Amino acid sequence: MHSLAINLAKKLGNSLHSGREQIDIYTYGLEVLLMTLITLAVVFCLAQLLSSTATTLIFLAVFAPFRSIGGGSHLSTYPRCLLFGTCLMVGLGYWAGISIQPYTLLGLLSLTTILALYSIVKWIPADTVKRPITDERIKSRQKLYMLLAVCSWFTIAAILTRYGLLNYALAMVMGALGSIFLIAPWGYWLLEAIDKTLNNMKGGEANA
Amino acid sequence: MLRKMQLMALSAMAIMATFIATANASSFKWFIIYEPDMPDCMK
Repeated sequence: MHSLAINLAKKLGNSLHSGREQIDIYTYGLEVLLMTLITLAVVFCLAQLLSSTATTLIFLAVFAPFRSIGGGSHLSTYPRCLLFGTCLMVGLGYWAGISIQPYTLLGLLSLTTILALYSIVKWIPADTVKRPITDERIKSRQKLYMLLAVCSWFTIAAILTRYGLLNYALAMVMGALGSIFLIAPWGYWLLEAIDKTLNNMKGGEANA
Repeated sequence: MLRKMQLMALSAMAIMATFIATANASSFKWFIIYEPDMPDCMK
């Protein structure tokens, strides 16, 4: 993916007579764009196959802004990200299609709200080694944005529950839980464990 | 005419790539759980 982005960026840079630094920026932007498009294409195809497109779309509509504002853990390579991300998005989107009682959903919604508010206080913005956030003003701003996002999310999910659209409300709860999981320390722990295990397997294969 | 249109399309692509790359606080990594290496000029 990185090589493809480099080639595209070089072609773009040559056509537009851009400098070295500008080509590096194109490479980074194109890499993020290509990865996002491929991930979304795979997720949509699988969701379509599993007949859970609506719940997966609602899941993504919550997962994306929460992750964008709150940050969270990352894997070390794109193939791992594609596999894990697809399983998470398609799996939780599909799971949101199960039948659920209104009171169970309300309980789950309340617990997720408490968890979301706790994560705002304790963990957000969840930065990474490659892109640390040290500015206190940015941290406070991200916390405020996340609070607004959680308030909007709760209101919409409560309205959907009130009108009996339980699976759509559950998909919203899943979206929030998925993103909070990656923001929380146990999300960092899990992704680190996946990376370590796969690195060890790779090392073992290389040594064999 | 064709050359002009090609240049416009490439410029639009370049603007989009630059915008995505420079948007702050991981705004565009909505659906990916991987952080590509940032170019030195952006650090």
